Amino acid sequence: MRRRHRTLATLPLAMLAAVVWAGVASAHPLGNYTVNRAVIVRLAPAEVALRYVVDMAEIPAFGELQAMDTNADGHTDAAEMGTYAGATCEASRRALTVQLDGAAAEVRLRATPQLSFPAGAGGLQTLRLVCSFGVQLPAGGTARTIHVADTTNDGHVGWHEVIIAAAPGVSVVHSDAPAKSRSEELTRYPIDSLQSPPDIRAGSATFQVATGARGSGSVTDPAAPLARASANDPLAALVGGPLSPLPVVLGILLAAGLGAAHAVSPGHGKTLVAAYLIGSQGSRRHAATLGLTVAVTHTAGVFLLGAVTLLAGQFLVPERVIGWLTIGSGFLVVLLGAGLVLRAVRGSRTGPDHPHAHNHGHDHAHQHPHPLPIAHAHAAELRARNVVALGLAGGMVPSASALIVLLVGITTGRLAFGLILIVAFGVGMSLVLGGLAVATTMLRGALAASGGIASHPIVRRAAGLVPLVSGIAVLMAGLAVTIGAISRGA
Amino acid sequence: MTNRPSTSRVAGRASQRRGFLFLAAAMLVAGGSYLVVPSNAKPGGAHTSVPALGAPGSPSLDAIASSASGGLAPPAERVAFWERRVSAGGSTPSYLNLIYLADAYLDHSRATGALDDLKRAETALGRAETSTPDPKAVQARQALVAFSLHEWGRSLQISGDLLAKDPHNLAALGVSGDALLETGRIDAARARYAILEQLVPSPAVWSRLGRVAFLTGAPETALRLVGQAVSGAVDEGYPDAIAFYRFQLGELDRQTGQREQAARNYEAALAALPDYVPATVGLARVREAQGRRADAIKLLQRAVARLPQPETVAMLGDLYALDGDTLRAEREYALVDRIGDVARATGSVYDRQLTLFAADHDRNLADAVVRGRAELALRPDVYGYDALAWALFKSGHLEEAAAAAHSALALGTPDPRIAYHAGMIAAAQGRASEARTLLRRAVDGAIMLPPLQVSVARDALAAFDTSAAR
Repeated sequence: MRRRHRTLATLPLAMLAAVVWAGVASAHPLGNYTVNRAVIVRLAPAEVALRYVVDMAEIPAFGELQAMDTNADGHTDAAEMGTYAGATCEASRRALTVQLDGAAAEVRLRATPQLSFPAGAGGLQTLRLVCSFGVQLPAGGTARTIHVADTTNDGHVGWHEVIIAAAPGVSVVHSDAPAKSRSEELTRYPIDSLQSPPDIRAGSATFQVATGARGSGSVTDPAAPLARASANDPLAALVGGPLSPLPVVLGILLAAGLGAAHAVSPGHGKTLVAAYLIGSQGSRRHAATLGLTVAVTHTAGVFLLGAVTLLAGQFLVPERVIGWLTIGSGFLVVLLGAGLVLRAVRGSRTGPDHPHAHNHGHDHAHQHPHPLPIAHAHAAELRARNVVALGLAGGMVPSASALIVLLVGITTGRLAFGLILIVAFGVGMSLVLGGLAVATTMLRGALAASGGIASHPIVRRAAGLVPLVSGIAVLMAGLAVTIGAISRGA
Repeated sequence: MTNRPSTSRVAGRASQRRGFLFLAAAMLVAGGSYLVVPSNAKPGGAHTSVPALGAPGSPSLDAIASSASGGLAPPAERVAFWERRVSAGGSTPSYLNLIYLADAYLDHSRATGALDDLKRAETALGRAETSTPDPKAVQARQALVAFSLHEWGRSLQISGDLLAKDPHNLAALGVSGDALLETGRIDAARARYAILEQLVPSPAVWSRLGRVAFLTGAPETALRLVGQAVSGAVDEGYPDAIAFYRFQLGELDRQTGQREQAARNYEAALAALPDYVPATVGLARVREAQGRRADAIKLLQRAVARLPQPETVAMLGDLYALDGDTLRAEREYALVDRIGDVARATGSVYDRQLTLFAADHDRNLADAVVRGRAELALRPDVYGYDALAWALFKSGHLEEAAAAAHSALALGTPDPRIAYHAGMIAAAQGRASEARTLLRRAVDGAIMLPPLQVSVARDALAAFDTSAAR
C-alpha cells in the first residue's frame, strides 16, 4: 500500500514531465544528447599510457561541429578539425590528474589526437575523439600506487568510466577500477541490461613492476567493491562500513537502541496493552518472560524472513510473509482480547458487581469464595500462557530495519555481525517492553501505598470495569491490526 | 501457588483502580499511535512515508525498500541501490526487486528527462512480468512507462484494463487520468482525480487537481492546491517530489505574475534536486524578466548541456540575439532544427515545442503546420490547439488559425502565451477589443513569453493604443 502510495506520489512528475520532456527520443544508444568519456590507463614498466576517449551523441556533436567551424563557412575543414582536436585534448589533459606514489605527475600529450564522426540518426553525425597521453614512471620501489581522476565538469550526462590495466612486465596488486571496458571503449553500450551508465571518474591501483625481465604481469582480478550499504539506515551503514572494534561496540549499542526505539514506536499499542496487563496483575517474572519472548520471537522472525527473502524469493514474497505474520499477530491479540472479555463477562455474571465487592472488601468477599480463587488461579495459569502469546504477538512481525541489517550483512559477507546486531536489536526491544512492565509493577506498588486519586469513588467504580475494558481494548487493538493487515494484503 | 490467590486478592483491589488509570493511559498512547500513522483505509495525510517503519501491523517491504535504498535519497542513488539488489539476485532476481528497480528508473527519468531509463524500466518490468504473482503491480507501471513515452493510447489501454479488474487501483486511476488530461479529455480526467482524492488525499492528487484548476481558469485554486502539495511533499521528504512540486508552484507563480515568489520556488526545487532542469529553466526565465540576462544565459547553458530541449535551446538563442550575438543565436536555432531532425528520424514527430519554435522564428512554417496537425491529432488539448493556431497564423491561414485559437481559449486557461497567440490572430482579423484584451494579458504576463516575442506583443498592443488615441 505504501508503495502504491509512493508510486502515486511520483505520478504527477510523469504528468508534467511529459509536457516538459517533450519528444526527445534517443538515436545514440544512450540518448542523443549524452557526452561519454572513458579514461583507459595502461601500466607499462617505464610509462603509464592514458587513452582519453570522448564520444558525443548527435546533439552535442552538432554543437561542437558548429563551434569547430571557426570561419563560419558552413563546413569544417581539416585545419579546423585539427585545431579543435588539439585544443580539446589539451583541455582534457589539464582536466586529468594523475598521482604516482602520492605525488602529482605530469601528463603529456603522446600522439596526434584522432577525431572522427561516426554517422548518427537523422542524417547527423556523432563525434569521437581519442587523445593519447603518457606519464613517465620514475625509478622507484617495487610497489607503486597510481590515482587517476578526470575532473571535467561540462554538465553533460553520459557514460563515464575509468579502466586500469597492466601491460606485460607489470602486475596489478589491487585496483578499484575494472581492467576491461564495459562499453568497449565507448563503442558498444550494453543498454539492454539492467545497469545504468556508470559514472566513474576516478580510479586507483597499486601495482608492481617486475624487476629486470618482462614478467608475464597479468592483471589480477580487481577486488569487487563492497556493496555500499545504505547511508540512510544507520544500522545498515554500520554493517556495510569498515569494521574495527569501536564501530562493532557502537553498532551493538546502536542496534539495541534502535530496538528500544522500535518497541516504543507506534504500532506497539498491543504491547503496551500487554505491559498494562502484566503491570496490573502480573509479576516481574512475567515482565521478564514478556521481554524474553519478544526478543526471541523477533530475532527468529527476522532470521526466518531473511531466509525466505534469500532462498524462496521466487515463491514466497517477503511482503506477503510479513502480511501473514501481521495477520497472525493480530489474530493472536484478538484471541487474547476475546478471552479477557469472556472472562470479565463471566466474572461479572458470577455475582453482581463482583470486582466492586472486593473494593469494599469485607461484606461480600466471603459470599463467593469459590469463583474468586478459581478465577484467579485460572487467570494466573492463563497469564503465563498469555504473556508468552503477547510476547509472540509483539515480536512476531520483524522490524524492517533489522531485516535490512540481515540482508546487508549477507550481501557484504558479514553475516555473523549482522546476526549479532539483530540479537542486540531484539534485546533492546525486550528491555524496553520488559522494563515498561517492571516499571508498571513498581508504580503499582507505589500508588497502592500512597492511595491518592485512586481511592476516589468514581475511579474505584470505574476500576471495577477494568477487566472488561482492558479485554475490549486488547480485542480492538487486535482487530485493528488484523483488519489492517488483511485489507493491505488483499 | 496456594498463597497467590489471597495476595492477588489484596493487591487486586488496588491494582484494578491503578489499572484503570494505566489502561486509560495505555489506550491513549496506543490509540494515539494509530491516529498518527494513517491506516490503509484512509492513508491520506501528509505523514505517510516517514513513520513507515513504525506503522501498525506490517512494516511493508516498501518501508524496507525506502529505508534500505534511501527512499529519501535522490533517484540516482535509488537506481544504484536496486540495480545492486537485482544483480545480486543473479539470473533470477526477485520480481519485487525488479519492480522497485523499475520505479527507480521511472523516478530517475522524471528527474533527468533520460529516456533510456524508460527502456530499462520496460526491461525490468518485462522480466518481473514472468515471475510476479501480482500482475497488477507490473501493469500499473507499464501504463506509466507508456505514458512517459507519450504513448497515450497504450497507456490508457493498460490502465483501463487494470481499472476494469480493480476500479480503485490508485496507480491506474492516476495514470489514466493523466493520459486523459494530456489528450484533452479534461472532464474524464477530473472524474478520475476526484476518486483519487477520496481514496488518497495526498500531494500527488492535489498537484493534479491544481493543474486542472489552472487549465480551467482558476489559478488561485491551483496555487492553493499545489501549495498544499508542496507542504505534503516536504513532509514526506522525497527530494525529487519536492523539486517537482516546487517547480510546479514556481510555474504557477510565474503565470500569475509573482516572479520573486517563483524564483524562490525554483531555487527551493534546485536545493532539493540540484541540476533539476525544469527548475533551472524556470529560474532562467525569471532572471531574464528581472533584467539579469547574464545569469539567465548561464542557467540556460547549464540546462541545455544537461538536457537540450528545443524550447530551452531556442530561448538561449533568443537571449544571445537580444544581446546582439546573432552568430551564437543562429547556432542555437540551427541546433533546434537538428533536434527536430533527430526527433523525426527516431519516430518522435509529435513535438509542440518544435512547432512553436518554427512559428516564433518563421522557420520551415509548412513543416510546422504539418507537425502541429499531427501533434494535435495525438494530443488534442488546449496547448495542441494553441501551437497549431500559431503555426497556421504565421503561415497565413488566418481563418483556420482563429478556429484553433478559439479552441485553445475554450477552457479559459490563463496562460499569457495562449493569449498572445490568440491576440495576434484577433488583431489580424480586426477584432479590436478582443485583441486588445488578449494582448494586454500577454504583455502583463510577458515573463511567460519567449524572450523575442515580448517586444512583438508590446508593439502590437501599442499599435492599438496609438490608433485609439488618434
